[in-house]
Amino acid sequence: MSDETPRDEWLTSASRDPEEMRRADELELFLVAALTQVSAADSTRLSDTDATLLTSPHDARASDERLATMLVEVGKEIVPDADFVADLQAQIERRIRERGREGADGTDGTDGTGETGETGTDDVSTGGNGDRTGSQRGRATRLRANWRRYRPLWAALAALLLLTVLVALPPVQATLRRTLCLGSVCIVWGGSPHSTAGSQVSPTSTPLTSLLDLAGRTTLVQARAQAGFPVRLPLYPANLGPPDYVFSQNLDGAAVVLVWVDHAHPDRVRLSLSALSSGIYVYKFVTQPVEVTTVHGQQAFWTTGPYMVELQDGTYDTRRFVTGHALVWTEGTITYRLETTVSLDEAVRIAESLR
Amino acid sequence: MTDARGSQPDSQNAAMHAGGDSVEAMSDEELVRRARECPNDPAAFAELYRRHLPRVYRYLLTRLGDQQVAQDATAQTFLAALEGIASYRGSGTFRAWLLMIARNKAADVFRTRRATVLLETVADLPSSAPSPEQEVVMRLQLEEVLRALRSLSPERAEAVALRLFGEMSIAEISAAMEKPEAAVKMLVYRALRDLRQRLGYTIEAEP
Repeated sequence: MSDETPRDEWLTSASRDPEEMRRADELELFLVAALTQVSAADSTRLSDTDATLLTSPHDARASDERLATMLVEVGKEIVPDADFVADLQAQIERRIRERGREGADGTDGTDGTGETGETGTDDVSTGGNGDRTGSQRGRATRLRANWRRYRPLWAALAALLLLTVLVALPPVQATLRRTLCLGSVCIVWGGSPHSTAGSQVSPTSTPLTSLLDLAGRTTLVQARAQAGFPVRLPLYPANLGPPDYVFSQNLDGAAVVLVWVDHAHPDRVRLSLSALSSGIYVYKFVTQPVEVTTVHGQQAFWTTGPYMVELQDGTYDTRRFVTGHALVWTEGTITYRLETTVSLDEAVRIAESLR
Repeated sequence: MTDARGSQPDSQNAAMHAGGDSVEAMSDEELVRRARECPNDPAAFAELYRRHLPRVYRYLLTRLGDQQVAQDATAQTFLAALEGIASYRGSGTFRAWLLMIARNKAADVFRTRRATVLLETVADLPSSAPSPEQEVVMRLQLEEVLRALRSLSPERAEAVALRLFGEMSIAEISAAMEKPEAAVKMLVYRALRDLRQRLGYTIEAEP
């Protein structure tokens, strides 16, 4: 725990701030309502609408209440693992039956009414320690199982922590985040609720240096031999030619990144095309609204920069700051991501020209 | 995973309910009485377990910040409650009594735990087959909350965890922490304020 927070010595002094006390009372009133509402709905989460209704937009306490709502909502999402629930339940049942047998043998030390002879107030300090051996034995198994099950997501956790570092996201907007996944790409949107899809962001071509940090630089021929899937090139624009740089990475699946340099500005990227086989997880952290479009009639996402891209498989990751736009679509088991500064229509045309 | 939060009994649950005809309709106090009067009948305690497990686990996870440690402490809490239910005299609610056992188990952990906790292990997820995007968002939010809670002073963290995640009333927390109700309200208020500042600081400090 941090020592930075001042101790609450005031609690035993007479120097209480009436205004602070009033706000504390108001917050408690709000919490009563918020917790009651959630309890009534049990597993139902507070919707954003509910949260808005519970939040007064007219005074300074709104942000505290918004945060409290978010905390309550997050708290309701915390549930124990089902395997753990079942194990503990079985353990309790076993303990009760063992106790019953001990009771039948007259070895439980009680007087038959369940009384233990303890007196006074409710005792919360004593009791069994549980089946520690079994618990510890199961713990290692659960850790391994959980690691396997959530390996990509645990890896994502590190990336998501980075999100708080790299994306200016007020905490009171935390409940407004949305995530869209398409193929191997998940887009975490942390934008303002007041943003609109029509917002225009002037794209800037991505610095080449940010791409040259990628591992696995190779040739197109080698990438095609290693990828395990056809590495296709766009036929549009006609003057595009072969990529200037090719990267091939083999993580949980294969990833091929093709880079075309803007020859008018050799330090900038004109186009980059990533092809990701299933198993690769790319997280894009964007602040602008995600536009839904189509490529070959299939759903595709269009995001506008700047944003962060995280490529990872659980043991390896690389991050890039992208200043252009990106089109994400899937074809079969391959997820494509096209980074560019051109318009959405142009990007779709490029995407549909892959051969 | 299946949802461990709901009341849907599985086969084991059904076995534990076999001895009870209407335990679900009973109040906590009635269940406690039955558990004490019929110590060989698992139905009553099973219902108490079902009702209070999410709350106890939620409190322990937010206090301890580690899924496995929270699970162990939760198991110890319920087994301790089972062993000690005869000592529960009904001077407060069963929920508050149970959470005080959990609080003691958490204190045991704090006394013995190592200084650092792997952040990667803190997140636990609802088990109702969430979509990948739901998992991403929930992990992000939960991790943020747990990390911020760890930055609070112990008393503020305790107060806000008991209030928001243990869902104890101010009066119950007041009794547990042996502080006036007004002081508990202020602890919760200041904890919220600190959390907002902590999260805000993290963001504002970034380029």
